[in-house]
Amino acid sequence: MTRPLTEPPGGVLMWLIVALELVTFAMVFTLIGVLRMQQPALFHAGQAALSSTVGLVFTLLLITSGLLAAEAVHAYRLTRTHRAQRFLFAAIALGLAFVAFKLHDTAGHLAAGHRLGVDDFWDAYFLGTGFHLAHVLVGLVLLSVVAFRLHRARPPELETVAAVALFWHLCDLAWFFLFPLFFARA
Amino acid sequence: MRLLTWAALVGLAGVAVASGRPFVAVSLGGVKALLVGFEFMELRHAHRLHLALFSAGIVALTALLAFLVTR
Amino acid sequence: MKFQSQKVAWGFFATCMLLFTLQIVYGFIMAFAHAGFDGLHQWIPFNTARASHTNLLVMWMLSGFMGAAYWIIPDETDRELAWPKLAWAQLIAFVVVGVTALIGFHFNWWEGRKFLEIPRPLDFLVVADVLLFIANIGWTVWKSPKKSTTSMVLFFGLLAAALLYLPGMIPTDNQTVDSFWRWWVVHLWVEGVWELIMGAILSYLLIKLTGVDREIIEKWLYVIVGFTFLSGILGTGHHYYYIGTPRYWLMVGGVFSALEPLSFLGMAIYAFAMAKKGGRTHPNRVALLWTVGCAFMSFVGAGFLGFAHTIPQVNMYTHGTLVTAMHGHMAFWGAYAMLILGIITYSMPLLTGRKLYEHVTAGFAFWVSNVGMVAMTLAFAVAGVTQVVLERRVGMDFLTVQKEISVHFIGLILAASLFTLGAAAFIWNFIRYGMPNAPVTGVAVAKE
Repeated sequence: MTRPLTEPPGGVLMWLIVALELVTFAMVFTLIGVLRMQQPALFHAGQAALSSTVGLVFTLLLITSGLLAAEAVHAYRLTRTHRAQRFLFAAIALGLAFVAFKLHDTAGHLAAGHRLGVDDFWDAYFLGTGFHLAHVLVGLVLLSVVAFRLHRARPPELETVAAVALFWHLCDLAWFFLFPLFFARA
Repeated sequence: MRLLTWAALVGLAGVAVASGRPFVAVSLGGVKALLVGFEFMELRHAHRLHLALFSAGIVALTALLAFLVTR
Repeated sequence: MKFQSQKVAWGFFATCMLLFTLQIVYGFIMAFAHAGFDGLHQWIPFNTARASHTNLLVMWMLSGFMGAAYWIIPDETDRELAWPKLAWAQLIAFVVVGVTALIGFHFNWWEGRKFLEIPRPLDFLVVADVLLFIANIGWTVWKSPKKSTTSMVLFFGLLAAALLYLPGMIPTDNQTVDSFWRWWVVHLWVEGVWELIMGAILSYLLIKLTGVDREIIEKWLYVIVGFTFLSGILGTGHHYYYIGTPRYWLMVGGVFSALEPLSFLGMAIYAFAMAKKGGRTHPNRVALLWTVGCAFMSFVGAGFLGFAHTIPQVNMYTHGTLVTAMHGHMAFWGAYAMLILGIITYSMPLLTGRKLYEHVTAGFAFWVSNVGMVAMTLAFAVAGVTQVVLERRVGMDFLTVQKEISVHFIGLILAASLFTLGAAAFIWNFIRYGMPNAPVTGVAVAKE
């Protein structure tokens, strides 16, 4: 099945938002890449303080949550509302776990004296991952609003659920590039 | 398909960490982004132009970042 | 016009015309001073002229927004203003505060903080006055069963604008901290909540003038305005580059302010598309010209020219030079001045019952003022780039450079004369419309 040009999966509005967000994130990644190129020693030192295992845990939480959101959309399309809601709640739970783990990790960094304003590496790290975290939080709010409304008298349309899931996948996409820029090291 | 995509994403993430090379990790990040776009974002079912635009954007971004991290 | 109380809009629009005229006069005083003819220096030194020029701009923008709100809100909510007499009193108070401030500037009664020079006691009066205005339109919207998206966006935009005046009043004796808060007012106004007001007025004008369905215009226009608004919030960072704030503002400001042109481009394309879609049915063609022109010129002036010097690496050289004046003139003209002149052009025939939009001065005002503004922007650009090269690259002394570039201000004066010709045609047209005395056709009258 191929959809017409005017009806991308998830709706025109959310795709406009996602496209703009991707442009924004692309600018952020490019900036980080350029800083990394200009100051290799600083980035090397900074990355030594980051654990790639922690990075992998973040990735796994996000992609698993993404899978659950995609399953929820699929279930909702088949009008299996209960199943869709369970999947959405599971996706939200993993998203919350991401936020909790992120806050825990950030607290550790702050205790170690890594904070905004120390140098370009930590500025880039906190601003880059902070911008991503802001999107995760917005995504969680959107997912929750939709999840709690599935059983209302006037349930959300399929496109609304798909749109919210689409925003949630955007958070995955952004993380896929933040991850190698900060956590991968030789 | 969704489950397979998820398994592929997990595998690629593991490979990226294991290799430890920024170039490999960025390239695999691009592959992961395309997988999420095709399957989770359902672009596989979208108009071909949408699919093409998305893929072109991700490939361009991946190429730019891969270039920057190898400098 | 539909409602009796909409007449108060005329009072605000007339104030606009008066302040606009004065603003142009002070602009000329400065241009002549730059060109070497500073004969008025003893009475109106450059700093006074500068403060008057920018504050008159802010005052007439606010006056225009208030007039627009007093015109649009009754129309959108389908009822008379809650307190029409209060609106007139609030206009008089506004003018009194403005005139006091303007006279004060000439006796060195000012704060010396760029764009917010009004002395502190008058700040409180401004806040009180704006609160009365907010209460008036807020109560009107609240009492009406009809709450259109446009009236809500307009109301919340104006409310947020009023609240954002407060950070500028935070007391501090640190120059950097003061600048930090000052930009909350200035930037979060012009690149933040004023854009909500702009979106509401633009959407009202497009709905009225193109005849395209309200649902279509409201939905997509507010999406675009939302993007502009969101990128504008963190775009505040582009004022924090080299003023003593932490280094990470370079990243924040650079990324987000570089995004702003995108949404301005979207707005321009959208306005063109709607104008095309709606056809040429509305007789007030020149009002549509101002409306679409506003969307286009705000993209060029605010979006494109803003982008030209918003990247930190460029701004390191252009910060605080005439390059900023280049951007500032066309940005304010395109985004806000043209918008206000647009709502005036739309509402005057309805207020006065005279159809002067067919008169030759109406179209003349639009084209001549715009060509003049483009020429002014070019003159500023040439002077600004020369200043940057001589002062920041060659390393010449500030005043030596000012002397070197004074010749460019002859060009600026010529361009500004053309602009003034257009502005004069607009004001002449405004005067010829006369007082508001069109028959009232609203629901309240029909009931009697």
